[in-house]
Amino acid sequence: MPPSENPVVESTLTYADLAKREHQLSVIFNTIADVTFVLSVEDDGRYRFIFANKAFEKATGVPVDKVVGRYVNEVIPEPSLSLVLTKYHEAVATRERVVWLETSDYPTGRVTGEVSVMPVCDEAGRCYQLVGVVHDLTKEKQAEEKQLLLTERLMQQNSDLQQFTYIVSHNLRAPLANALGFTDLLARLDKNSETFNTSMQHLRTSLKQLDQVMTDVNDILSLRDTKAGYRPEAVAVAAACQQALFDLQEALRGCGGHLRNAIPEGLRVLGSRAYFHSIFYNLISNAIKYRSDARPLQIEVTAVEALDSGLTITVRDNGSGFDQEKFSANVFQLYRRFHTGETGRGIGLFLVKAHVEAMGGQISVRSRVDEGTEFTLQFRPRADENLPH
Amino acid sequence: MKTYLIDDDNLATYLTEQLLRAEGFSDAICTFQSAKKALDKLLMRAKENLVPQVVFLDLNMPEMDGWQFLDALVPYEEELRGNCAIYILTSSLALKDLEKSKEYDLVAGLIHKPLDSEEIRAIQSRLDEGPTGA
Repeated sequence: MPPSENPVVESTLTYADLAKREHQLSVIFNTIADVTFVLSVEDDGRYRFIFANKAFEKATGVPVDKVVGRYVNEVIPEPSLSLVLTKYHEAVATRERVVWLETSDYPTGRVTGEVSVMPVCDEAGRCYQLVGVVHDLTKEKQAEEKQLLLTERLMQQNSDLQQFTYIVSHNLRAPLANALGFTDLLARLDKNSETFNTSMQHLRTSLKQLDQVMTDVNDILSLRDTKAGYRPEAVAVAAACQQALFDLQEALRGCGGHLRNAIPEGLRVLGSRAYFHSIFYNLISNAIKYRSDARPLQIEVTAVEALDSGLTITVRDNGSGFDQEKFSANVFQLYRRFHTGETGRGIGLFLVKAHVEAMGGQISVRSRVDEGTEFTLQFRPRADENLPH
Repeated sequence: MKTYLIDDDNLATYLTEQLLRAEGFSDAICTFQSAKKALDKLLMRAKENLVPQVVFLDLNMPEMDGWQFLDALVPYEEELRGNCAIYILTSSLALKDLEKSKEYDLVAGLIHKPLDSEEIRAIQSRLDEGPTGA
């Protein structure tokens, strides 16, 4: 009888239909690049995976057949687990879509995604499934972070530039103002007076200082230029120090000082000979300039190479030192001086730091008033030295 | 007129001193390379009521700069007001220095280096008028 046959035929058709649709759906789901999964909400309140697409497998590295049938707490590790469970509970309780941002470390790398879970409810309003989608925002996030970094660097560069302009303009203006003043004064003085002669000399000195600032500006600007074209060479550090010492021999002898160069003879470091010379020259001449009157100057230069920490060069003196707590942040700033009555222009340590950093190193200083100063130059282990700066 | 010149730049102090002398501004000029030393001296003199009538103060100095010098004088503002006029004498043209100088009661003015005769005469006449009771 037709009425009795119909349900059978109909149900067969429906089954084939369902199978076909199921297949279609799974093709669609697996084509979607977003991680997609379905959770069954169990009676005991736990969540069990009943579906996960290919993108899920790709992102997590966990095969789909290892996921389906398992409870969420068996698949997702802490600390993510606590977070997602809270969100699942929320979706179930409110019967509304819950969306949040999540960053997870998958075997394929760090992934930042916008996760959403959509509750599926029966006619009685009971939520029995959750459909989850993770929309990958990693690229956007990376682009955003890159942008942020770029902006930060730009702002730093900008503030450096501003600082530079301020400092240079000040240091140009000081000798210029003196020169102007002296021309004014000279016009009113008796040409045969002593004041006239002294003022004339001072005018000349002011102009020389002005010229010196221009030379400094040139040095600093060319430093920026050469940084881009810097090619490391193997530098014999002990010899570079010895050369700088040779150039300062007279000044050192003049003050009765002594320098001990304890850098191993054979030590070669990838860097620039000119930079190392400038570094030693400036540090040694500083030590001479700021020696203590209370004792003969002793300078010690050492270099230690270690596998893990790389090369450490120290330049230590027993000079007058400075108040570290007050000044250590400013020591390397351009045109900063810490001693009254000395002739320093405040460019030496600025150049030293720039040269150390151009070779991928770092410089720090420790000092105590009336005891001495120690500069430490740290260069990373060789493995890193080929990295671009 | 008792005058202090505080500047770490030797040439600048020499210049200012000679300019003041040429203008007959003062014959009692004390120069200080260090703001700290000038501060100590000034506070010592304050006890004897012998503070300088005029102080020319540079801003950019090592150890203690002009601002730190002024900060250190804040507790003595009461006793110095009217007796001691401080002029900032700086080579800086920065506007923010001018703004900042206005925060200090004791600062009578900010002058850009070099000091010239016109400026010196202006200071002179203001001092002759006596303290304007700030």
